[in-house]
Amino acid sequence: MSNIWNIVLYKPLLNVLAFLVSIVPGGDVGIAVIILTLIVKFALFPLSQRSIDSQIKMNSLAPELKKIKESGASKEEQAKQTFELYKQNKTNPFSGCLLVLIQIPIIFALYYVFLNGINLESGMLYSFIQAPEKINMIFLGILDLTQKSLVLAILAGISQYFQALLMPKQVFSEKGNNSFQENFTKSMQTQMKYIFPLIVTFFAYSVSGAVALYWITSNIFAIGQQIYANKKRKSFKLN
Amino acid sequence: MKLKTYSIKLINFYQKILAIPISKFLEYFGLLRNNSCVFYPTCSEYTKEAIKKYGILKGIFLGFKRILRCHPWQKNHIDYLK
Repeated sequence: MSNIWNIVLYKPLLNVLAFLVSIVPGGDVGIAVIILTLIVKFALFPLSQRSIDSQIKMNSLAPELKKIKESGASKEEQAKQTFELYKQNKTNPFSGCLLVLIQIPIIFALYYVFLNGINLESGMLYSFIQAPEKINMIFLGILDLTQKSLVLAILAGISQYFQALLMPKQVFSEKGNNSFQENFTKSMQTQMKYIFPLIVTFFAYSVSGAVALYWITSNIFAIGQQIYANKKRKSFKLN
Repeated sequence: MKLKTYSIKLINFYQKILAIPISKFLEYFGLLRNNSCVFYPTCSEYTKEAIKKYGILKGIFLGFKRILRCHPWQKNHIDYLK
């Protein structure tokens, strides 16, 4: 299992990183980390963008979904009506475990590359990839990526906060639904808003500057992606 | 026999306490976008029924197969245990 993981994900990503370090001016590993993160994010873009689009569409169907929920029909009938509604509006929950199962290994591999592979030991490199002549761990001449970095950790937390702030909120039904789950979800959502960025900050600080830089980059990418999706929705509504 | 009741209890616990926090967590970190299930009944409900009907081994296997069918291109949303 760990062999497959090494061959399919870890090694290729590590080699791309080594290649990037060798072409980036001054061998700045920080810039290579940012570029590699962006490459992976763009590769996953079609999947993530389609699910964002379908989420936006679903949110616009919320009033009708609410009606179905409050109609008092049996659960099975409700499910049938819901899927029928999706069909009429030509949408589909672009969702599923598969999306999670595809993304998690890739994201973890990237994380491990930045955690362990950052020194680019030549043993892991393919024969056709030359070990970079110059490896500069000081990002932009200021921040040492192999050390803990408070600045990068705090930036990771802040970018995480804004990334979550931009995400579309789930619509709750107002009428008499004080189920434990719904209340729990609501309070969890409020707490997540402030606590998760703090956890991310602590985590990023305790790991390394390189991982924090990866986290910041992927958050900024996600923020941009959400803004792009929101703009697309506006033009979609105007038509 | 005992294992069967325990596993059903475990699924009940998952459904009542863990399911929503896990999906919120995945959503927060951008791994899952739509909170709506692809299937009715949910995979946990399906697996529970499968364990009751076919026993623990085959039940878990059927549940696992159901999870693999949960992808964006799935067209048959109403999917009962056979």
